[in-house]
Amino acid sequence: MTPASAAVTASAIVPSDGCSTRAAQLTCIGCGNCQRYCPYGVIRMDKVPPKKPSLLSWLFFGAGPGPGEPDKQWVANNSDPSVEKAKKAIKCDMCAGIAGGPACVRACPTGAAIRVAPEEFLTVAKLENEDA
Amino acid sequence: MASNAVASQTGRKRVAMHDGFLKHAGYRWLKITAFIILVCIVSYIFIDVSPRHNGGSWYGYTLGTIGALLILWLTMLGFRKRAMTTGSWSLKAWTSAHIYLGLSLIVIGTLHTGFQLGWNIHTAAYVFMMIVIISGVFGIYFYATIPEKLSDNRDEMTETEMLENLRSLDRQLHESAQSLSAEHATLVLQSLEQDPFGGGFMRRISGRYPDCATRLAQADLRRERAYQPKMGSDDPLDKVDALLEKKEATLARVRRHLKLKAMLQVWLFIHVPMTFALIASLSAHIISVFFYW
Repeated sequence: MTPASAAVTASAIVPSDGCSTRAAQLTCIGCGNCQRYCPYGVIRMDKVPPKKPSLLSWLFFGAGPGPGEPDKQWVANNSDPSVEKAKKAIKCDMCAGIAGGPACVRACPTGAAIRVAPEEFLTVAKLENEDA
Repeated sequence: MASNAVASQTGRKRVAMHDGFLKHAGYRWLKITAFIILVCIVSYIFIDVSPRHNGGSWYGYTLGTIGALLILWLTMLGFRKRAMTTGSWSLKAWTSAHIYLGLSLIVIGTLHTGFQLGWNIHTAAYVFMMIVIISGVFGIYFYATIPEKLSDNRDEMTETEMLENLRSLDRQLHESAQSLSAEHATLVLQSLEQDPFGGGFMRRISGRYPDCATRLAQADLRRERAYQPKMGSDDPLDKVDALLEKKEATLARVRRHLKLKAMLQVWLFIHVPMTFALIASLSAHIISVFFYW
């Protein structure tokens, strides 16, 4: 049993495509065991942030925190204090369910970020070193 | 060559490896741009506009419309990169198209003018466009060459590790300086108290810090001790000297790192404001052309 599977109390983390796992948001109870036991430190616990103003209203009028993940201060200022949201496990799931594939690769303007399957990783790294 | 496709052992589909924004999809946008430029030049030569080529002929209007729409589309890159929507778009493809189609504007814009330039709003729009394009060329050069220099300079360390290294050297210097004379301790204190990266834009972009307290402290110590007899292996000044030397080397590395990072951004401080100046002057150019039809 791996540390990660030992840690999952409510079976919320499931293998998705053989090389990554997903944290199922419906069954996660927010116990935080997965974060503590993760050997790679990739899982963190966080709440769903409040909805941000649109990108155009940020561009033209400076509304909201701008693109990307909102900072903690903005989230705290814009959350409804009467509603308590539970923190849930968040990890990279390779943007599962998004047709275009991993957003980090699509967002890279120079082609530096690529996704490589674990079995190909060493081959690619070796070729890159030979190339350098 | 790493940019070639690598076939996986398991027989899965071939995966394209690192492929830069210039080479994207087998130079697709370079080819498209070369074709556009060729069509523009050939048509400019063979289409007879009387009395001479100018922005007000049907040919001039066509090139002008294409150019203006292209400018608006190129400006959209700033929006595209911030709008993380789902779908199969890639920012690398957008960047590649932005670069090559942006360069094609040199030809489209110049032929649109019919080489008639003067001191007016029309030429102002043209000049702003050329400034944007030239600053963009610098951007291409920086984006293509600096990442490798950054990696070489970092030597497998992260920025946080470099700064942590500096803090650790400062702690050691502070401890070692306790047993020094007041005069020597002042030198070390100057090195500890100075903000080693402050001083403004010119220092950041040149990487030169002429009044670096660490270098001055080390130079002073060495000058003073050059003709003094060695005290033996447990001389605290030897340790301080070695620590100052290490700190200077680390500072040089961090300063190079900050300089390279600044160069990756500095061209945008011209490129982006000039784009807005271009759009403003382009609007004035279009409105005035139709106003005085």
